[in-house]
Amino acid sequence: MSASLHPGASVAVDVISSFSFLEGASQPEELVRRAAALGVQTIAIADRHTLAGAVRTHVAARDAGIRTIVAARVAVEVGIEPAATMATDGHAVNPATTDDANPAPNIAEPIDLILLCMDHGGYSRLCQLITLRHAGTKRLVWHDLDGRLDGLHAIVVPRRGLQLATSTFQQAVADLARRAPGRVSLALSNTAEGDDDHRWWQSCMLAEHLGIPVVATHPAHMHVPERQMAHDVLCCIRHGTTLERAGALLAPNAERFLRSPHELQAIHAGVPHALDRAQAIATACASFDLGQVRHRSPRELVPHGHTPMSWLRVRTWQGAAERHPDGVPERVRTLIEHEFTLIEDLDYAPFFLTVDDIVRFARSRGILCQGRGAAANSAVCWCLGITAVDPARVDMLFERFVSRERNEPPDIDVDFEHERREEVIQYIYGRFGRERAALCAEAVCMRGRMAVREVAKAMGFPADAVDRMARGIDRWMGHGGDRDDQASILAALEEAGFRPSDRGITQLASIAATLIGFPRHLSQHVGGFVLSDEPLCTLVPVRDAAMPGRSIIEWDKDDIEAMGILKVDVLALGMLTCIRKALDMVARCGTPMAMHQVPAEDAVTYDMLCRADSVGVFQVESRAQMSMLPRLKPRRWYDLVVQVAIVRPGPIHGKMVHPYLRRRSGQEPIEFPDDGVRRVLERTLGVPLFQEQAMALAVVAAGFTPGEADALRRAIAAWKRRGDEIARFERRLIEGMVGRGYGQAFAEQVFTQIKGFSGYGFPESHAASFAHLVYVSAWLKCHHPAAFTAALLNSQPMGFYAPAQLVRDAQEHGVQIRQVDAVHSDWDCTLERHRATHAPAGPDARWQAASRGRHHGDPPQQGWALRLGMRMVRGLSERDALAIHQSVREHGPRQGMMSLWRTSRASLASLRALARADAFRGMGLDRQQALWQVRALKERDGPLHEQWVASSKRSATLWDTLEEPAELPPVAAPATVLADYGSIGLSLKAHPISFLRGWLARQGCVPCALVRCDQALPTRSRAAMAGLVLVRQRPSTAKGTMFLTIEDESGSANVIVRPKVHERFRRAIRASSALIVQGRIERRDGVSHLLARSVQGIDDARAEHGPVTMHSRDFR
Amino acid sequence: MQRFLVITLPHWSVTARARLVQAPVVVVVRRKGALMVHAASRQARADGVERGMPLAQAKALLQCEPHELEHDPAADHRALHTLARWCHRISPLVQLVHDDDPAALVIDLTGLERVHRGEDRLLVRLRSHMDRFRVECTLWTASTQAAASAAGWAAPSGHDGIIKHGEERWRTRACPVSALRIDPELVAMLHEVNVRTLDDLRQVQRAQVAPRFGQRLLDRLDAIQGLVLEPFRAIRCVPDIQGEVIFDGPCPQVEALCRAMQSCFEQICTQLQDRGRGARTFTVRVQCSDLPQHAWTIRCTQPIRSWDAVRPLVLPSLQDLPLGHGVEGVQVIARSLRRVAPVQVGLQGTRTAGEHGALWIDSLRERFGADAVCVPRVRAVRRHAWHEGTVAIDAFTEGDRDGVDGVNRIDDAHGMHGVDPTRASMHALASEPSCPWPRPERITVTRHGPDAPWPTPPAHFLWRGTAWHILGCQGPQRLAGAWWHAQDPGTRDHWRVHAAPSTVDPSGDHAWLALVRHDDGSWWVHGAWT
Repeated sequence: MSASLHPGASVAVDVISSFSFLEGASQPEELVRRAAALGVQTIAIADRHTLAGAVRTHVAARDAGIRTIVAARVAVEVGIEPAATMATDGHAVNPATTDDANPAPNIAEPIDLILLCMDHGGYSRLCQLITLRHAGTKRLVWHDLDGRLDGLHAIVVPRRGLQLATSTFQQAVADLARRAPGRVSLALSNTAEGDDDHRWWQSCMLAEHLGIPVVATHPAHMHVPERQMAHDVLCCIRHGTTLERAGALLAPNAERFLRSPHELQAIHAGVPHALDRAQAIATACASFDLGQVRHRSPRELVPHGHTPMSWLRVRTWQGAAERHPDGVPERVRTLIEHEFTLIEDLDYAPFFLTVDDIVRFARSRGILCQGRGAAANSAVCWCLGITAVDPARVDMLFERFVSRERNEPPDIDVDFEHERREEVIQYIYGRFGRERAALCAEAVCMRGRMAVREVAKAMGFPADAVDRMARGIDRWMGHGGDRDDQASILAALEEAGFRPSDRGITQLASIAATLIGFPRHLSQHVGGFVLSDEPLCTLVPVRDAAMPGRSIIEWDKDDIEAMGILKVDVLALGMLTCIRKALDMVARCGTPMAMHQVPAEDAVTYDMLCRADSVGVFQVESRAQMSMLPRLKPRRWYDLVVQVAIVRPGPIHGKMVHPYLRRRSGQEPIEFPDDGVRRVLERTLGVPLFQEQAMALAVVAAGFTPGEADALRRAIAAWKRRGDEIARFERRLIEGMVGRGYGQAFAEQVFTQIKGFSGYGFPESHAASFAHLVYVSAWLKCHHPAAFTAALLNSQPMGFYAPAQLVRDAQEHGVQIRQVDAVHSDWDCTLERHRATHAPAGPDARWQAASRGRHHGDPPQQGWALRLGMRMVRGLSERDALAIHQSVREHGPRQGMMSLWRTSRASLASLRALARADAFRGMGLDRQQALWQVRALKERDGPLHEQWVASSKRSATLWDTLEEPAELPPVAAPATVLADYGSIGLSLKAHPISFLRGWLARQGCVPCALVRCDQALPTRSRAAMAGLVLVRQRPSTAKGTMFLTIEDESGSANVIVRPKVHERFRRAIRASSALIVQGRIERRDGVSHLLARSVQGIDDARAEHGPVTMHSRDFR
Repeated sequence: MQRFLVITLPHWSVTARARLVQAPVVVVVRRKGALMVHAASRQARADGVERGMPLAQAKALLQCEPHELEHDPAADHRALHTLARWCHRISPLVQLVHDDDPAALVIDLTGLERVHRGEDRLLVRLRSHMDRFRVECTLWTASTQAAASAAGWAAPSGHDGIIKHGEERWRTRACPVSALRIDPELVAMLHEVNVRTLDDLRQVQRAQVAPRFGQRLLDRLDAIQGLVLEPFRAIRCVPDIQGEVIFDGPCPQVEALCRAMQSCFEQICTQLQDRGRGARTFTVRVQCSDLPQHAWTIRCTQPIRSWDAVRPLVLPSLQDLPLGHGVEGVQVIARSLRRVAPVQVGLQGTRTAGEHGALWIDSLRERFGADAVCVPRVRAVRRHAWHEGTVAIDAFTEGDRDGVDGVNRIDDAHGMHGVDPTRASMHALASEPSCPWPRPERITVTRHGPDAPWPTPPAHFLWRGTAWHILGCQGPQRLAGAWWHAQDPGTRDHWRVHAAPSTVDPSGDHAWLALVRHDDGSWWVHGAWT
């Protein structure tokens, strides 16, 4: 800074960021970094009615070494008399002197205030004011400022136009100066818009008249003028218009960018007192920053006579005694004491007690819940019943959860049954009140597709071109922080048929790439609750979520982590619902059982998993996991922990999978350089598979402290976003290891493996939590397949497979499946006792021999068949289904359609849906006849209908008995099957492909089951097969390879489509629901694939009664 | 026995508007924000494009970029009406069916077989015409409209046929139930119970069909065999409105010609008045005894039906018209008829200002030619008022005023964000010089200091060889250009300066001038304030 520079020129107070949604054209970090580079010493980013960007600003300013003032911009409405117009000499004309016969109407025009926090009290009041702004009418009126200006400095920013000259504005400013003496200023700025000289003069006159100082400001909506294009586009998006039509809505020039102190001084050269004022404001606000904001967890859960810590000790030891009835092992005891020390030091006891309270409530209501994530590293959490990972079975690293060096708050993730999570949420609101409990926000940011779509619309491209552009863009582009988004967008647009050399396309790509990552609006986090001891609105602004009855704070999870605010994630997990329902069903069948009573380490269950027979099993049902199971051959619970963690991008990118498998199968020796490394890596055969191991390795081999190791983990996780940070750790790690006597090659290999976690890797505790559910669900599938399948179907939508595949899998396990029937079915799928001792096999039993052996273990669920519930029927409401069920129960199945309708009062749409599902066979009506009869019913509403219902009992019965069955044309079997698929998504009659078998055989297609059979078709032989597409997968780790699962009447088969083949047959692969695939058979470790050479969509005409319509499940 | 010819026109939306286009054509309609294919040309259909398909999917299927048209039912109906009028050469009784797709024309041929030398010859001749017109259609004759219509619906395009009397039932037995032109939802319900063809439908007990699907379905079915009569609403053959005066012998006086012309127009205006319409086009024909016929067309900006309005457009043309030995007759035909609201005339018989303006424009067009009269098209970009060429008068009166209205589109939400565009535009206008030069003139400017870090105002400038001294100035008003335009003018600084020539007393001769500094550093004077 030069000697002549006024210190007030280094203060930037009228700055908005991207958190003034669709207005600010720079991210807070960009503004702060630019300010630091320009020599600005104090910056106040005052976003419009929000503090959502305040934490990011605070963190960035801390890193950049400049000061920041917490501020927000609010618009407060006052009445303005438009008659107070500007006279030719610049003075405002008093409205009292205007024509009394034509009084001017009052109109409300807001006055913009920048409110800057001078102390903590001022900050709390600003939060309350913003909370008020977002409540109810979504506006602030003048008396809302009453009592809320203490501790705040207000800068009045006159709007362009005539506002400055209106008497109402002048009166309002005078009133403000009375309310906050010495803490009100009038903004003076120049953005080269023509009338600045006049406005300066007016502002100075007004300030002198009212006795308030002017302050030098310069509105900044972007950090550099090059962002003007993005600024214009954001303006168009905000107003829903195009650049061509925007006209004067756009800023007239690109002057609203962050100015250097020299420029600011030059602009305000004539008013040095305005610069003085800026300096004075910066000094007055210097005593407060966001780091002083403190959060306290609720304290009322502690009984009288206890401190939070003492009560936590009591609760923990009570839990430990319950968990270990034979006495708490010494190792666990040591762990608990170690954790107590940290928890007490960091004052986290109230937080643990809060989560304990929530979990106890869930248990009291019979809601299954289980903690996951880093919290599973805590023995205290295990004792409190929050997590299910026994510290005796897993090496826990508490520092992964709570670290003194890191001084960051832990967050506890707890999964609840997804259908009953709302009960837990309402309990939290009821227990702590809406004012002390809120969800944290999720800043919905622009990603590639949205950015391209919005920018293209704003640039005026035609609607179909916009569609075409957006479809070509990867939805997640920008999510991982790709550095060259512009090039990626251009490449995608070129692929979609747009010329990248075109000027408009280049501009579009450039602007869209800029806007990727820009927040668009605030939404609610999936389940992250922030609970506070005092009203949350004094801590952070709170606003209503879109969902009724919910409120959110303005900060997202990263912000609250940076602010040290504790949160508990109340998450929903479908598998917990499924397990609870399955256990209930098993209990109804005569074997009452709780989740923790499931027998451990059951060999038959592991046999099943080793055969990759895991459809429906939690976490290990995906195609990749199923391929891994026969190779990993899990035989104990810890193998499942590894299984869950190993098929993740982190271990795959870190090249850890194959070394682990080779060592496990004995093909490669397991060697450790010393005992320290052995202790860390022994249980994963010398290959680091978990984040905890990476951290522990850094501690043991490179001399990191646990806190530093966690910082390493974070740097790795943020590698793509902040690539420079990892370099610092790389050098430190390798040098540390070499310094401790490890070889350079070993050190580099370890670093490469650790860096692999930048993709996505599980912590061991998280994998252990999930492994528990894997085992329970696998055990249920193995020993109670009917109950498990019914529970899965009753918990839909969830998992990897559609109901058709779940039902088929159950049939292959010997479960008898029964059709949806209005007479026999309840809303949910249920179990029915059946007489046959051996359930029939699947729909086409002749292929069973060729397919994998399915029920090698215990005989499946003897005597119980699965009755599909009415929930499977598309378009049927639960209320009507239950009414029909009740009616049948009361009046018997022999009543006619008219009588059923009259007694159940179900809607015609529901009856029609049931008829389409062929669900009236119990009443003696096939699909055609049922539809025919339902068609005869006429919907009636109102009191006359009620009267008619009351009087027509006899006539209804008469009608049912008198009408003869209609003579309708017979329906062919394929059409019946397709109608089943159309109404319930599956058919128990036949598989659609079975009707094409003759034609397919002539095309040279073999059944899918033969592809899996080594005796029928040897490895590397050529084959063709056909089937419905069940799953399409194109994971990012597969470098463009697509994995298909197709199914015919004999079973399913896996297909691998290499990128070249995919490009060649793209249309058929993407669009067709049934395919013929030709290729070569590959087998490895008992897993068979067809490596596709050509793919062809089955001509819809082959299906004789309409196309085969079935929706696959597509994943990335 | 009655006979009917039904021309079934599948994909009429394409045929009506783009039958001569070589490229694949898709007619699109917007449903729930998405563009869907409403109809596709034969070429597009060959590539797999179907009705109801999203446009993006259709484009993916096509080998080349298709020609896209917005669905315009009114235009389709007009085109169908034109074809129907053409069909009056076959029979005076032609009925239009355009309430659903495909469109159709029903022609009553009863008693006309001999005129056309038999139905088979008629179909052959008609087919050749339709092929020449490139109209996709099927031609079927039968004793009932319904039978011919059902057969035409079911047959592929270009497959024509004749159903003899008494054969209606068995010739239509395989037609789909949708051939009865019933609600698609009803068709879907019939399909659900596996009733797919007319024969299927006939097999079901009639007593059970009516309560379920309505009597109308059975009536349609019965109409095929003539058991139920279907109404026939023939369109009228409307001739052009015309007025005519024939002289007893050649008349050489221009005055007589003018009176005859007035008489013709008064005949026309009376007819237009009766129909509640006005005409935008008048064709005038003057037949002289020894010269070729004089014929010209008068096109108006508004539909009119008053001789007073037309007179200034007609009479000047007659003054210099060579009449030879004399005029034998005058004929005026009115075309392009448009509905006109009743004229609101004031107590003094005055007309509205807009009407006066239109007449004035028409006079200018008559005098200088249609191409010579235009209005400027003004578009607000940022605060500039860009003159983007001119727009033909017709377009102006037809009402594409988006560019003009652009400034006034105020979004309420913007008020909350700080800039009131109305006021902004008002200021922008205030900063424009009141007397802009026709062309800006380049000047050389001297300033007191460099531009950085903030623009320095000009101090002196040299203009037309004279040095000017700047007494005071306002600005700059920095205006960024429209970067999304190919010809982006860049950023310009506008200064409003109070200047006087250095050679004279500064207190004497002086002017307020608009100086503009361009991106490249050049200075221009744009105009002055009076």
